Amino acid sequence: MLFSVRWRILALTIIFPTLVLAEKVQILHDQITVKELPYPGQKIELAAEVAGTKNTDLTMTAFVVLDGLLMDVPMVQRLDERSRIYYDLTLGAPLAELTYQFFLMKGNEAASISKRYSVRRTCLPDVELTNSEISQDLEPKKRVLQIQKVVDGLKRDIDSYSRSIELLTKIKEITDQKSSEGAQP
Amino acid sequence: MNAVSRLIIRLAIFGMFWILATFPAFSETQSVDVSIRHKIEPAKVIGMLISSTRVINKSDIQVRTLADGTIVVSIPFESSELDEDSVATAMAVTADGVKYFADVKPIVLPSIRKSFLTLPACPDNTAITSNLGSAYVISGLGYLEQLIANRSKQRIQVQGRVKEMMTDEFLAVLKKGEEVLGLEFAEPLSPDLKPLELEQRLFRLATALENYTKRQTE
Repeated sequence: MLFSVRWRILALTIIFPTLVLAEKVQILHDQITVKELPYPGQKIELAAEVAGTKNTDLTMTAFVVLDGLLMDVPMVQRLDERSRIYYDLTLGAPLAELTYQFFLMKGNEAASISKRYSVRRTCLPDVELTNSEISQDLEPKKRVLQIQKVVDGLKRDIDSYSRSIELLTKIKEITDQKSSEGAQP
Repeated sequence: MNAVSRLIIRLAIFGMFWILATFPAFSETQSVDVSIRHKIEPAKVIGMLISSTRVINKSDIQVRTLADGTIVVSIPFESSELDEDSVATAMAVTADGVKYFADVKPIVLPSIRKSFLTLPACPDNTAITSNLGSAYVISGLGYLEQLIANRSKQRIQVQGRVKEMMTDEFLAVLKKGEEVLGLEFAEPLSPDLKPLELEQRLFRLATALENYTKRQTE
């Protein structure tokens, strides 16, 4: 009996590291929660860690459904101080809901696929252009509240237009490059 | 068996039927809502359940039009029709044969099956999140009003910059890009869209263009 137990331990000691090495490549990610969702359009940064490989030639794509609109977004690879492989994704926060899934690609084949993550607000935030007029007839406390609302709203509008400027610059660079190469679109 | 026992048994049986009949799993048909964001009059609408292995066309759908013209399609389904990666969408065809597609919605997660367009508007929670109303803030009203003036100016500047960048020529390129890459929207692209809508459309176009360029170079 003792012999058998020893053999089992020995066998496990030999086999276990092999099992660990042969373990599948895994995508680790902490899902964003409703409470962490900023105002629509504001940047959210998602990171996925890849465990079980040191291969930095792999690429990762996120399939994202942002308020019902599907898109695939290539992710940016980085190594942390302990040489762990991460892939980063920056998105504008959704108006209401966001679903995403990570695909780790080796060439054209998926080396690993994460589970599908989803988050949905409980109510729809106001995304209209902020009206900057303040009613003069309000009592002081209500006036302060309205002023604060306008101050915050204007900041959001400015941020949103600023991000649109960044995106327009990026699109212009791509289309200019394409037109200089004589290609469509 | 006396009359009381018979009554108890009858009540118990009735109770069980009542519970089964009102229990959500027995009474509710599962369905998922998708939205077609085009102001159109569809001649025909088809619901679709798509997974990596099959496409199921659904004709037993419910179609309703919201006040803003968005068409919400409720697609019923059974669990046997779902795969792990199933998504739902719909296609509307107008009388002249033009096809419009709905958004794409993953259906494995019950929490997002209902259209988000039917979510309630968030309450105005300014009072909860700030310490406004205090004597200090009220005394600083002049400062806040100045801040509004400054931010209003700043918004005019960035909004103006967006309009400057979206010249007729570049706007035509952007619209062509949306068309070629299959990014369809009800409203034509314009610098006058709501800030968030403009940003989301530009983000989508930039991402699609980036992917297109990357695939061309591979």
